[in-house]
Amino acid sequence: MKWFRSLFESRKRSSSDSLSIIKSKFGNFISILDSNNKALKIMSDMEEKSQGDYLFDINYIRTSLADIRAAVQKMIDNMIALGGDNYLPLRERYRKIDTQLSLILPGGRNIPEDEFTIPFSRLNYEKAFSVGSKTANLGELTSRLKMPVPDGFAITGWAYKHFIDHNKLQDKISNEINALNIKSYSDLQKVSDRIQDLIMGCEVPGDLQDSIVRSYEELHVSNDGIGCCLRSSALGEDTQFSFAGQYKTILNIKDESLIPSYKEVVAGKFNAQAIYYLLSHSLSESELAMGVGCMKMVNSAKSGVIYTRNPVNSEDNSLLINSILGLGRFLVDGIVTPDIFHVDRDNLTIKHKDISHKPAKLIALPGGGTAEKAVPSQEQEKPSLTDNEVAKLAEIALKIEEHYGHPQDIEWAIDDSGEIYLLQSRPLHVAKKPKPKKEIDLSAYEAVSEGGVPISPGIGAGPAFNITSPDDLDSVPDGSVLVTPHSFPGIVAVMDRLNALVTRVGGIASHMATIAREFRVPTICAPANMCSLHNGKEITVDASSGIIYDGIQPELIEALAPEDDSVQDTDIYEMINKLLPHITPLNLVHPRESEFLAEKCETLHDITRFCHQRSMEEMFYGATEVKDRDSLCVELKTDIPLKVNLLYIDREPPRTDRKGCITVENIESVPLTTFWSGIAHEGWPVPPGPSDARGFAGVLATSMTRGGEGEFAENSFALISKEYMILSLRMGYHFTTIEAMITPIANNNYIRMQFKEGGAAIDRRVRRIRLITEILTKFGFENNSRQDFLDTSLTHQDESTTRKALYSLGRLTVLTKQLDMALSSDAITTWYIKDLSQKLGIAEQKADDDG
Amino acid sequence: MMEGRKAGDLMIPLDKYPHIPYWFTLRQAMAEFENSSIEINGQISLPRIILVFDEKYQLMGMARRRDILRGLEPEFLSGKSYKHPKKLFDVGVDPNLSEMSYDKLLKAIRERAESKVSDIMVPIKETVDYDDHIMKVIYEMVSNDLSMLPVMQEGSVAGVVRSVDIFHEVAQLII
Repeated sequence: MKWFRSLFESRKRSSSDSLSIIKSKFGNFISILDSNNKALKIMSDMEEKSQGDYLFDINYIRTSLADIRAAVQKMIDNMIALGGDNYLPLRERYRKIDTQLSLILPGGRNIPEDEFTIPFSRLNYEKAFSVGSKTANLGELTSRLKMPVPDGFAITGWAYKHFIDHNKLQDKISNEINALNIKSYSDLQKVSDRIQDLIMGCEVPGDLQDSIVRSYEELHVSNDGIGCCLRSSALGEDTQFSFAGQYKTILNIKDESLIPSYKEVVAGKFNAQAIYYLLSHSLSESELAMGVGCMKMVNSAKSGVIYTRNPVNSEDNSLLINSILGLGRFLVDGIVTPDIFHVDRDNLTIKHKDISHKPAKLIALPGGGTAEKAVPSQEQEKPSLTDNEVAKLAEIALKIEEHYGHPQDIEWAIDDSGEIYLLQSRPLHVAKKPKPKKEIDLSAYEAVSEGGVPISPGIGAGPAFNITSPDDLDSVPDGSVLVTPHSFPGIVAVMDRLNALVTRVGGIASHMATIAREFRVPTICAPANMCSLHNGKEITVDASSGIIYDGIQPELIEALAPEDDSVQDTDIYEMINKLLPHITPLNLVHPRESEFLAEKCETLHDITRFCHQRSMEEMFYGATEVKDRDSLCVELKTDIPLKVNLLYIDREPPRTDRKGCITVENIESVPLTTFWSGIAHEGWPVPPGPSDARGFAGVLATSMTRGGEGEFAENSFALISKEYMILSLRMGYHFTTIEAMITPIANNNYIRMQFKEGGAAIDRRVRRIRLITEILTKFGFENNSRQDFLDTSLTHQDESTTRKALYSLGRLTVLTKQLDMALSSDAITTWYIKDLSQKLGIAEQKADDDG
Repeated sequence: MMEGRKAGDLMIPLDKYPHIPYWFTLRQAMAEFENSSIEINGQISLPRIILVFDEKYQLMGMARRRDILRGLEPEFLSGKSYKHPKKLFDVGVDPNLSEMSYDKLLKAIRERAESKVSDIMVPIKETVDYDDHIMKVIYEMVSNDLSMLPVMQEGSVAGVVRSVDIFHEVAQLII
């Protein structure tokens, strides 16, 4: 008997293997439905937001996108687990779509593993994802373009991650930021202080310290000269978002101050304005690792910024060189108004010079640190660059622009010996010169001030509001025109409240100007008569021409506002409208079409649609192919002479009676009990007893029967969970498979039935399919039939509608049992359609009821 | 020519003939009568009898129009259960003597119409074989007073042969 037992056991094992496979597939399937639901919800919400009737911020886009990505990736993983390698092409499709999304809204990448430090000579632009684009660009200038860049090295994003992980900082930081109200500058400042203190109190891990120190030593900084500077180079910075001046640069550091300065730059990632910038551009803090560049200081005699094009006027064929004396910080921080040299891009001749008053400069001290120094009076008004230097700088700048194929914003310095150095190069955003919508007689309006320098074009009006320090920022009212002597760091935090901005000093090359252009706040600097702009004075600022008009002038705003200056033209709407075409359009509509393929998925919605459809099919066929299911089942005991074996896929089956049976009342499966109550409602035909046969000699078989006894005798079976069932019913000579999911979430709900065969001749079977199709259509089912085969489904209906439909389907199952036999003509079929519709309560209203 | 004709040649194949499962109601059986027609050689006729099968597609009996009418007859008219076989000495109730309310009658008939066809069907007494000669068919019809006979082929019902078709066949020879 041993062989018999082993045979039996191996059979049992393969059955339970088969069950555990189907259970795990069911898990995948449920997860797909869940992810599908999540993704669809976010998609429709984003579409609604893009219509422009609701307020949202960039954080919303970030989170939504991250959630959709997670949901779609999960769907794909589960789809492959459920249906196998056939679905691998989905990964490729996802990657393509995701790349498109990343180009529009960068971020969301993992920090790549790399060395902790890498010298500029081994860097190029492709390393931007590891070291940040600022440093990667310096590497590109050094290694590919052989441009004069001071020696230096990158401290990578991987090093940052090591520092954060080592000190277990991420959760603490995220908690602080998530709880933040970005509308309050003082809150921002408090949170920022807390995070920065936290970071400063942490230890840089030993291996990272060693690596930084080793790389530093390779720079051979002399003991008596000036040191290095550490600059932030956040991963993701300068790609889509400039982060201009948001992060820290520490000038002139040496030896022992190196490691604390590294921490300081890292902590600078969390300064108030940087957090604001991050959140207001919906960039996730955790995705932006802080790379740091360490570079030998240039003892700058003069320095500045080159714009290879005029950033406020794309039609101007000039290259602009901004220049001040000493270190460049006074320029980018807007403390000194620079000289501006307008150079003709074609022949490198100077078209025009704006020479400014330069009373002070910043210098590096030999022992480390920097100091402000007064400029001798005879030099204050002199051009800071010679014509020769201008030509040299212009030539270099155009070479760099040519290399990148895009206008550049280049920081440069010239040391005491006249040597040129490049300190940074990044893409320059060039604004189109706004064209006035209509001609208007400007002389009719009284100008308060003229001759301001346009640094961010546009027109805006409101009451003037003067501030002089970051302490005043919280009190800046919405819709005001901010008037300030110079730019200071926190201003970015109130940008979205401003209708216009006026500063006394600064310039087109300051970080504030870059930010103002990004936020589209009309901005001018250095206007005449600024002292007349007292608090509450209503003014209209035409920042495209540098004029301030008295009063709020709606006609002027209407006439001069750039044509496309609508709500939807703001960055955030532009962003969502650029993203949506890769997310929401649905190309894969009908599973019957030959184009319904993984390879044809063009959007995330296509992928979710495809997975949803195919997962139902995989589950359906998977469930009908369970091996030896009888040995794993419990039997359903009912009044109906229909043997149904039940297989629980989400739990152990409930207790059975001695014969291994359970009753309908003990089944905890909403779809099965719903369906069964429909069957029970109609009752099952009871064969006539012997007395009814009245001498009847016995039944006579017909030549109609197909398949024979074997088919007829096969048990029905169901796989069930609390919210799901797949029921394979043998109903005489036809079989029907009904799958249903009923949950409180409409998107998850569906019913699917496949119906095939029958005992009667083909034309009667086809008539029955017609009948069922017509009735189910009235319940909202979508039908796909071929001859006597029907595949029909109802999806996305709410819980009660789905239940009602499933209950009716149970009734219909009994009502159409062997109905094919009776369908001898089309007329009788029509009669039955009407009759059954009435029975099921879906008969069409009489025409006069409609009116 | 007549000697060549067999039951199989003269029958209406089952798939052309109206039939229903036994649990169908009298109402459904009536719908079957009212909506079916049989087309033989371009001649359309209405069925006089429908066949009743079980779920295994085995022939159980047949129902004629008068069987259905009998089944619809309310008990207060017949005085007997419709299931009660008619006996020789049963005394009928004269419908004219009953107190008749039209509404009451209609209601009763509608209720009756929901009873199963298996309650009123009559059993199959005789069958003929597919290869049986027409004379054998005529003999069975006359001696058993039947207007229709199921035709068996290899142990299964293949169709039915009706007296009207036999009559037609014989008439071709005589007139």
